[in-house]
Amino acid sequence: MTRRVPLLLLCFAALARAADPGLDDLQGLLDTPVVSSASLTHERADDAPATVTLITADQLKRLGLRSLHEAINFLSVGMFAQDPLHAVEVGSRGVLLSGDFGNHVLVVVDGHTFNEAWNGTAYFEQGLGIPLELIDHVELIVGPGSVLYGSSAMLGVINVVTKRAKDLGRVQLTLEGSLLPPQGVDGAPQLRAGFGGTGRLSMVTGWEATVAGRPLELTLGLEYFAHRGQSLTYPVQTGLTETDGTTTWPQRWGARVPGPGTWGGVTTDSWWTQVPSGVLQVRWGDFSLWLRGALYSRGTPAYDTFGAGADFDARNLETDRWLNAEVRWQHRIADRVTLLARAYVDRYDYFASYESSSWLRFGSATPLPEGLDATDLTFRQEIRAGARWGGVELQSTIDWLNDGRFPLLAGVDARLRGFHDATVSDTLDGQRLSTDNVYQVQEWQVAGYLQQRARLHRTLQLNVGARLDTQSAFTARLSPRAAAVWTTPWDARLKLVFSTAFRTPSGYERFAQYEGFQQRNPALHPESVMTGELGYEQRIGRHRFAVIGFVSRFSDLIRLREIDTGLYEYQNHDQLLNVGGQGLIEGALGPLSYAASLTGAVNDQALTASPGWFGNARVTWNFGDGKPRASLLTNVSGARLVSTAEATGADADGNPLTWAPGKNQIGAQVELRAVVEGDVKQVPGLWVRGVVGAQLMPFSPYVVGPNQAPTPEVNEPTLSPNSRLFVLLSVGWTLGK
Amino acid sequence: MRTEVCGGSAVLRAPLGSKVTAPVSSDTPPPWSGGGLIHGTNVALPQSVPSLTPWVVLLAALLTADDQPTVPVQLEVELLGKVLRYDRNLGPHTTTGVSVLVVHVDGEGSTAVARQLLEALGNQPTLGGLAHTEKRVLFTTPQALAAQVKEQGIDVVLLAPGLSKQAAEVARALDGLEVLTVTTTADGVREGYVLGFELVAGRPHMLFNLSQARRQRTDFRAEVLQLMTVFP
Repeated sequence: MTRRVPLLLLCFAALARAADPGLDDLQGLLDTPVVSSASLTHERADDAPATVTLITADQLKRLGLRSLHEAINFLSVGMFAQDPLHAVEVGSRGVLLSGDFGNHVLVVVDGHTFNEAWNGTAYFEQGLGIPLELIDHVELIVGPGSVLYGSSAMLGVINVVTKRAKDLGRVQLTLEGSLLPPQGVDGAPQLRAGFGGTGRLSMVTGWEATVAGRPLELTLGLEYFAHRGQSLTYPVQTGLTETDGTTTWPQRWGARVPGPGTWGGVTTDSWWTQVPSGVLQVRWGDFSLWLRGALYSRGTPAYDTFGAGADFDARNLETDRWLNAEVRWQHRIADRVTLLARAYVDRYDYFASYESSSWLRFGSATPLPEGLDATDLTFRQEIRAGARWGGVELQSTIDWLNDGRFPLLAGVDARLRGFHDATVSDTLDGQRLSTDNVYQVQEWQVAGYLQQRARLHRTLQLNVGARLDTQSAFTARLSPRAAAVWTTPWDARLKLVFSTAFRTPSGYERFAQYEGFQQRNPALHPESVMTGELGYEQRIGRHRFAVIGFVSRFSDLIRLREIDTGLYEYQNHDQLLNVGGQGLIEGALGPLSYAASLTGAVNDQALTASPGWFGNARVTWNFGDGKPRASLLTNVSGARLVSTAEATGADADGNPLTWAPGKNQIGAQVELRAVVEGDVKQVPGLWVRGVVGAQLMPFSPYVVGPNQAPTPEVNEPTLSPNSRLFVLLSVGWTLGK
Repeated sequence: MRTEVCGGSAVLRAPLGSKVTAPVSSDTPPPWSGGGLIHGTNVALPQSVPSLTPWVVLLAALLTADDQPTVPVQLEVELLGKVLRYDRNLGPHTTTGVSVLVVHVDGEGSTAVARQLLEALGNQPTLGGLAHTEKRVLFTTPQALAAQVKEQGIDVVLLAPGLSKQAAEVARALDGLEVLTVTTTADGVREGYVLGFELVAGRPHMLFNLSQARRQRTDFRAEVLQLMTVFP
């Protein structure tokens, strides 16, 4: 104990060394987040008409964060992400709508919407398809944001802003790899064959010149990410049978299960990911061209709605492919008027392929061709879907008084979109068994929006706006927003916001149908949400704290409901009242920087996979200029109901399924991470980083395997394992900055 | 404290007897004349395709880069107020408070930013712990600006957008005068304005031209310079 006293004194002395209040004030101002997503103008985050978290490139590097979903979990205020080993799910303020493939959160990169037009899908893991080192900062808006962004901005808007050429140097190369130990049936890491790992190689470059008197800049980012999952062990489910009404036989779940009628065991090579991606941006004066291409291929051991249909541990795969292009021209056409015009075209293709040995269990009501035996058939099913969309947006700002006090933002966005889908089933030797769920749709959308900001007094700002979305398929929807920010005499911010959002049903929800299992619902209409929030934020030197209270009302939430035995339909069914609060504290003491946030919410009905509280905390110690930085991070989240692939874990009346007592939910989740990062003095531009990460809890709240619902024989769910432990090493080299 | 805002801006006049030069922008070669610079090298447009020239002229006219401030103006002024506390030369030679001249051009949104600067300065009780007065003027020539700075004992010149191309000439005109030139954007700092602002990863950042600062007898303390990008 006596040895610790001098050490503590030394720490406090070091912290007190920078105790120049004026310098602290200055550094505090330099730490002020400035955001542009909430009102499409640069403003202090505490003046923005929404709750916005800023995540910087330096934080991603310093804290060893490898994807958007990790950044959300470790840094955001009010958002959280959860990994079912498939598509990461994101929720906010206690609301996560499991199985939505991200279509309640709008993802925007450099002003370009990423949610595709077929299912509204957005990815938050490496499938986002943006080279990590190209990201300058990320703005997370928590809460509704349709006033400027339209459909899908219900739980929040994530705006990724990429770097400018001046920030990149000539070339930046990054190479990193990680190691993940195999896991046992209890989820614990093991020392045996079956280690997994990740590898990532990226190159980003920036180039500036002056051509014809105008600044020309070019940025290019290329990345290749690969992941081979560690071997996982699932408990073996037994006694699985199926029947055609006259005969009953054991279900077959592929060649790697212990035998007929069983599912589970040890996975070998079925968990993998590959993501090549590239972004090119060219700016010349007021003109810019933006191009992006990405391919996201992966397989998971619990593939296809958490392993409910596909063979266990077979070589299944999914592929998402994007091509996006945008040209933009922004010009001041008069002293008080600016104009932005942009045209965009996007292409998205989705392909899934998986083997199944259970025609009746997953196939369809289609009779098998003559000569094929349902009890002894392995077939391949493919989903071939995609979307094309393109449009033009015109946006103008008018500074009425030419003094920045009453600027008006007005815009119109017109687009055409088309999407298609088909499910085909073949025998393994290529004989066509069936083609289902075929649809091809073309639609138009036109939206107009207005936003009037007003600085009525040096202490009072207002922001009022609305957007009207009209579509060929739905009646027009108005999304208003109003916000007031009062700067108190003691320089705190008091913010009152009312915001709304909606989401049009996705193409899949509207048109997908599988005979005998799922039928279309032509009456499906958009979901909506309205939120009121009141926040208080105070900065004292380099320290900042904020508290926010919110209440949201979700209406007409779309959910797959069982309308008859074994027959499902998407319906506007759920209403949800969501009330809660969130808090943030962050700052710096000399070389130590810290931050912590906590969000708690209650809903008037149970949501699966949604924790009632969650938060994160981090500290970083900077050993000095040119010296390493060491960080410790954690994110925690509370208990939540388990989520099933079928019927979203609820019965026909919306009540959660009842597993054995205590088995229908999982406890708190805790993730820890330690990071050391720094420059290599001997080689200019070279930096290294080491990361150790651990998830303390063995399982996530996703039920896997054929037993998705409690039965008299099985009353305990099999849960998807968390990835428990990893070690990551990164090396980067910057030339010419 | 703000002393003058009324009735729009005053036009800066060159002192009597001095030669009034044409606006700097008209002295510079036209942008399509091949004056581009790539990593220190002039790059001429292809001379073998004269038919493209009118199109290039038209396109170049549509590509006027708009150097509006990305850091909110109020925040820039607050930062300026804090950073001036660390200017060793400001306190000793300032007896009646800090005198600020807000300079702008017609068009390019410059007037709006200049008005915002004045409003933000009015909201700021002190700059560097000292009382302050400010006025807004329309830019004509670097020499006229230098004359005004000298005659009126201006301590800080705040430059609204639209003046980045004149940075080098303004810097030359202000050589030897004890004045801090501050631009609301990053453009022009490398060329001769002493202090500028930009956003880096969503946070405000300051840029500092050290050699020009010395020529204008601005002397910031080292601990503040550590927070800035310093051009030698």
